[in-house]
Amino acid sequence: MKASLFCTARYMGPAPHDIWPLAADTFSGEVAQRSMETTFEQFRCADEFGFDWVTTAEHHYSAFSLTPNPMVMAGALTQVVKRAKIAVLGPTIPILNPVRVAEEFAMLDTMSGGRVVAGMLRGTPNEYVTYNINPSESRERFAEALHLIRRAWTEQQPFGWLGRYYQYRAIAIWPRPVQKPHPPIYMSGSSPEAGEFAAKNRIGIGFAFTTVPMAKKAVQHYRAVAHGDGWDPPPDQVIYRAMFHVAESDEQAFADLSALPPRVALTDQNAAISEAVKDTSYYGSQLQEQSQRNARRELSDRIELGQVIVGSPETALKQVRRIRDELGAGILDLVVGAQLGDKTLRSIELFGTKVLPRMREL
Amino acid sequence: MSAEFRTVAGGGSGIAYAEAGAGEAIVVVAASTTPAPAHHLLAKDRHVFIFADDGAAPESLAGRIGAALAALGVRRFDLIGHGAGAAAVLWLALARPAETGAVVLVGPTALAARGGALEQRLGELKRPVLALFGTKGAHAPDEGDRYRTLLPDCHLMFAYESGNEVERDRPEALAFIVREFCERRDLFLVSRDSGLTLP
Repeated sequence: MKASLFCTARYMGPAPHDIWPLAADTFSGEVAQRSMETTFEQFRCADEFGFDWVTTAEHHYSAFSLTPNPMVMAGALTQVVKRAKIAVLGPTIPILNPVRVAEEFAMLDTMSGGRVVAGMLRGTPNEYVTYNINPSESRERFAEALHLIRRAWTEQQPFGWLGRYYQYRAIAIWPRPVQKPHPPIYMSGSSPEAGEFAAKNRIGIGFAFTTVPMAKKAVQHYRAVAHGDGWDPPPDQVIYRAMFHVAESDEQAFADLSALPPRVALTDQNAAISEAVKDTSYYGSQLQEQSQRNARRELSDRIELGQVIVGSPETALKQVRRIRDELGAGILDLVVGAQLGDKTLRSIELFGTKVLPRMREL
Repeated sequence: MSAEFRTVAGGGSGIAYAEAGAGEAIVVVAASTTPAPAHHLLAKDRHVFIFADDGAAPESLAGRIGAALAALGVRRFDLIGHGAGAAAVLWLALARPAETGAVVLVGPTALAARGGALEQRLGELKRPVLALFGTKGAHAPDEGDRYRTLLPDCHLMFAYESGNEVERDRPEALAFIVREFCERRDLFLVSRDSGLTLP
């Protein structure tokens, strides 16, 4: 089993974390720069202590994440992270220009020497407000954009695209991806529709801010559809994301996280958006179930459900083993649970040196 | 789908065809003379002639279609070749370059056999060609590349969520791109669509 470190590049100054979109009146450029430096330091630390991947992702208009364009962060990481793969999980492709996404991934793959992992996500529903795209079209836009991006990476001759949502007369991207035929692709597998699409298109799946029981059901569905389609996804085709904090002892780790506020999902930070999105087909056939993913929970419940990994290295390993056993996931995407300065760096080091070597045997 | 096609059994040179609409001519070579939804759409503002690929040698079929068009008094035309009909269309464009405007090949199989006489002649074709394949269509991975490399002026395009029968799977899309390409030819590369949303 492999590990990735996901830093959202959270704004580290005082700012509300339950409002979307967030006004700029609490913003400080100096704090933002410090937040970026901290992010780079944590990624460097992960690279040094053996993490297999580092992860960045797209989020807008929030102090939760200062990477509205994760490609920019990934570009910087190609020069900072020397060994680990750089996973962009991902660009929110239905709200972007897919040709631009293909070009940027190819650039990153070239700059990193073939170390890019290409997540293709629909994003959280609030992101559709960002560029004024109708979320009810997100699934269709996603599917078309993904097919187009893959075609742009692999087609040798300049070509046009007569799509439903996208039209181009001539596409011929330079540079081409280093990895052949193209970088590995992942998408969210949370809903049955997404799992089926991924299985039928031979794409890896990932789960973010869900629960192990929900992810387990979704992975079983994905694997069943894939098997019916003539392939059996290996463990590396499944990514599971959880928050983590590791310290020398359980007591210390829990004490460190005692002030951790409950997580409020980005979409739930704006009642109008949350309500409006329910009227679209964004959540597919599982509106109720998908809503439960982001329910507010106490830390103990979040640990029990596999949303948070916290404790000593030994305790963390047990939690990781459970995720591995339940899901058959091959990649654990670990989100920094709390920005605690040196304690966070120590958490990354402990995970990399004490947990990760034993994870590899799972 | 307002345009009504009428079938003519045996034209000037004894070849059956279907026709509808009025205006500049579009000559279609398809598996049969039965119009597909895209042909109905095109016939709203073009005079559409559909000839059937009857299994004859493509060069010979092209000769008979050319003769039929001459007998009908059609002096200028754009061409659409569907599937195997693409070969006859390319032969026709080679034989009558002055009369040919633009050429659109839809799911073409004209180069399925390698090294044939048509392949040897494609370098002579000076008319703009659009080679359109459905993303769900069955064709060799390099099929589109071959049209683009063998024809001096060929644009390769993929129709999303379509088999190679784009005229049935995505008729509006095919009619749209045929109109664009026939009207503007190579200039179709540059969009004329306005991005203005609210003046």
